[in-house]
Amino acid sequence: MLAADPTLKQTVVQAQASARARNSMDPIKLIASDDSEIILDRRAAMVSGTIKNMLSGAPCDGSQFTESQQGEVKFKEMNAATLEKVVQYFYYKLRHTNHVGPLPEFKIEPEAALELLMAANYLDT
Amino acid sequence: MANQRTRFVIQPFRQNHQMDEEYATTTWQTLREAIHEIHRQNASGLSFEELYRNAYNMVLHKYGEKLYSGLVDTITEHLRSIAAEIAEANDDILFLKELKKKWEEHKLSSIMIRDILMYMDRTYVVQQKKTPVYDRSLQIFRDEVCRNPRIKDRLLGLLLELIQRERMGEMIDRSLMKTFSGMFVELGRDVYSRDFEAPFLAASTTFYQAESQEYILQNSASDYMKHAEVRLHEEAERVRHYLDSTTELKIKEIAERELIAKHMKTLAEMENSGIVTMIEDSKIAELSRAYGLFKRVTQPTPGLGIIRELMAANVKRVGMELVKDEERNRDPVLYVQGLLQLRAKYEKVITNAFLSDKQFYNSLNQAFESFINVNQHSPEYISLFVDDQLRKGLKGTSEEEMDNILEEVVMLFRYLQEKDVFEKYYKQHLAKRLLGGRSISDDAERSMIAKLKHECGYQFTSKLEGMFNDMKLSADTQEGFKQSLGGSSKVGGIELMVHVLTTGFWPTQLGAKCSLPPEITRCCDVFKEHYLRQHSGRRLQWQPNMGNADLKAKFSTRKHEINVSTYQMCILLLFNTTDTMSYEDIVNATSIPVADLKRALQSLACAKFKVLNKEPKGRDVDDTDSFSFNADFTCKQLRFKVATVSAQKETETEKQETRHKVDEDRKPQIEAAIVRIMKSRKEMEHNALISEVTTQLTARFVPHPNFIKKRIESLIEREFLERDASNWRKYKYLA
Repeated sequence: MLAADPTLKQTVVQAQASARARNSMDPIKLIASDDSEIILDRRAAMVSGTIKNMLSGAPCDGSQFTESQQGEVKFKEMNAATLEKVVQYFYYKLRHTNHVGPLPEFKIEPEAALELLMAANYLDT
Repeated sequence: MANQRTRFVIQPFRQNHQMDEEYATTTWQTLREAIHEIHRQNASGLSFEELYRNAYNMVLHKYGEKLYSGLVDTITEHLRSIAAEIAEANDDILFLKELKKKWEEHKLSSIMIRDILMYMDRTYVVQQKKTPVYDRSLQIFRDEVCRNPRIKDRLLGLLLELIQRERMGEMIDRSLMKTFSGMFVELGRDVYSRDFEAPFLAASTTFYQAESQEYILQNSASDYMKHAEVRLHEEAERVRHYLDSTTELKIKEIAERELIAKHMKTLAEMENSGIVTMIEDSKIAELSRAYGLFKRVTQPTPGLGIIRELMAANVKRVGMELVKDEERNRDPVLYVQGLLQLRAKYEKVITNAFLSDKQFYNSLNQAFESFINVNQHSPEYISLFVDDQLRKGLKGTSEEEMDNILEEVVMLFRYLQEKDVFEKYYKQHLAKRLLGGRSISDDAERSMIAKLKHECGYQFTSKLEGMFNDMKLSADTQEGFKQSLGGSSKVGGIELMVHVLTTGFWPTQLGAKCSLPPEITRCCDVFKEHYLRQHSGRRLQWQPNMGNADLKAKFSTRKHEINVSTYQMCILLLFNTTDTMSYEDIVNATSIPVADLKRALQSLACAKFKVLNKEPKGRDVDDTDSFSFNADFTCKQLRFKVATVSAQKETETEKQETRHKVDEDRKPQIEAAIVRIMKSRKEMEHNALISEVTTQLTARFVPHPNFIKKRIESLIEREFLERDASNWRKYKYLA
């Protein structure tokens, strides 16, 4: 875990808090290409259509992929920074869905934009 | 991640490294292996992310076509082997179970394959307008498995056989059936309707055709209907349990057509158990069932129409017999009671078995109208029935019961076409009741009037109400008369009670005259003087035919008080001076009209109380008879009443008289209607005028066209109307 990075730490705290708040003991672990991990609420992860498909499927028969069984997904072609930004977006989306009125800005650095666009396409977000 | 706010130029996307053909093939190989694993229900070792990424990369690098066609080939190949495997099963049940298992597995793996190839669905499939992965996968199943020549017919045959067995009462595996009908639906509506529903409906038609024909030959109508009801219920249940809901209407229609519609006539007319018999015997439960079944049928003829017609025909037949029944025609009370009972019977059937269906009531009413008016005496008899009820029949019944009876009578009255004839008779009977003090309940009389008023309006009852008013006024006048004589209404020892009747309200007869005995004439003059003093300018005319008198008579053994009619009184007073008189003497002395005199004499000499002796003895009075006072008359009661022998019913001549009066009364009504209509229309064709007049008058009676024509001619003569100069059949109103 990238404990040094304050934003990532914040994300994790957020995830844990929201997980507790919703009384959901159902965290999901996302792993970036450099093996750094982010644990987040399953519902936040479900914002991505791709991740949602990975994790669904009837339990306890042959229809589950490894991801669903272990509760973790490894993204071999996504770097830690992008993944982190993605998870931030998951929470941003989760919080502001059904929101009325002007939305707070979701900051994206121009240099990360391309990577994020590709990730968004990949993750069906 | 579309919430990009910061503006910046997106650089043209450049591919870092081009994927070469060989790499693509390797990637496909990995995916193909994975798909095989999924088909083997063994996905737990696979990484979704890896497969997704592989598919993503292939599509991204323009190998979408390779991926898509490769997928189709892989699935086709897999399903071919599956189909062969299923077709191998020898045992039918095993075959079905295997097919069911493979179908469920295939659905599951198709979902998984769709998920890992989601990226292709989202981009390549949309761009190239291909069928999405999941749907394509089911299509392949449809073509390779369901429509496999070794499977298709066998499957259908087995399913139909199972349904057939269930119809014969066996228990079958409904969940298996549900799976397959569900499978057909999921493979496409057209697959369901073509591969399963159509053959199923055809088989059902054949089955019900054969079954209904056989069953109806061997069973009674009520058993058959019970069976049909069960069958219809079963089919609905079947659809609910394991067929698609769209089938419900179709199978319902088939079952209804084969089980009911085609056999309605047979069921209706079946001997000893058909609907005709049920109606006759008021079989409520059976009729209720028949109603429910026949109601379903609307094509080609509405089922309920058949029942309705049968009922109407039945009512008409029974009713016709009733109104022509000689026995009943002799007794009006019996006649009307018969009608009431008939109506009550059918009303009960309609309320209880036919859910109080309005149309059935209409048919019943029409039927009644048709036969009640066949018998010309109906208005008279109904009035006589009311008369009977109000005289004595209602004694001891509660107000509510009485009201019910009157309500029912009014119902019959509603059927009458000649309501004015009824009015005539009702007036006569009411007058007799009021003057004779025979009515048992003033409330009942008034409630009857109120009902008639409600039915026909103010005009119809204004005269009847006037009669009641006269009665009240007469009581006051009588009181005043008594006061003027000093507290007693006796004049020369004779107490006089006078009812003053308004001309026009009462059915007075102008010709009814007789010479009253002098002592009575004196009384009358005293009253007349008193009355005219109060109401100057009025004319009083005595109606001896409507009055009655109490006489004290001394016979050899004891004294009696006799209540007789005014005519009878005149006759009896003659015998104060002589003991024997010939018929002719009496005629001369009293000048009572012949028919009334004969009746009066008959009741005095030939009825229960023989106050007079007739020579020669006999039941009828002849012009040559002579009469004498019967001094030896004995009777147990001190007071008795000599009832006037009169068939309550009218004699033929009286009938013609009434008829004539009714016709006379109709003339001004018809003329008034014609003038009313012509005044507003100014011009009208003959036929249109006739029909308009008829509609306006049907509330009271149905005028004959010839009769109307005569009135029109009379109006032309009196220059209310004229014929159009150019069109002979057209009338013009002359202001």
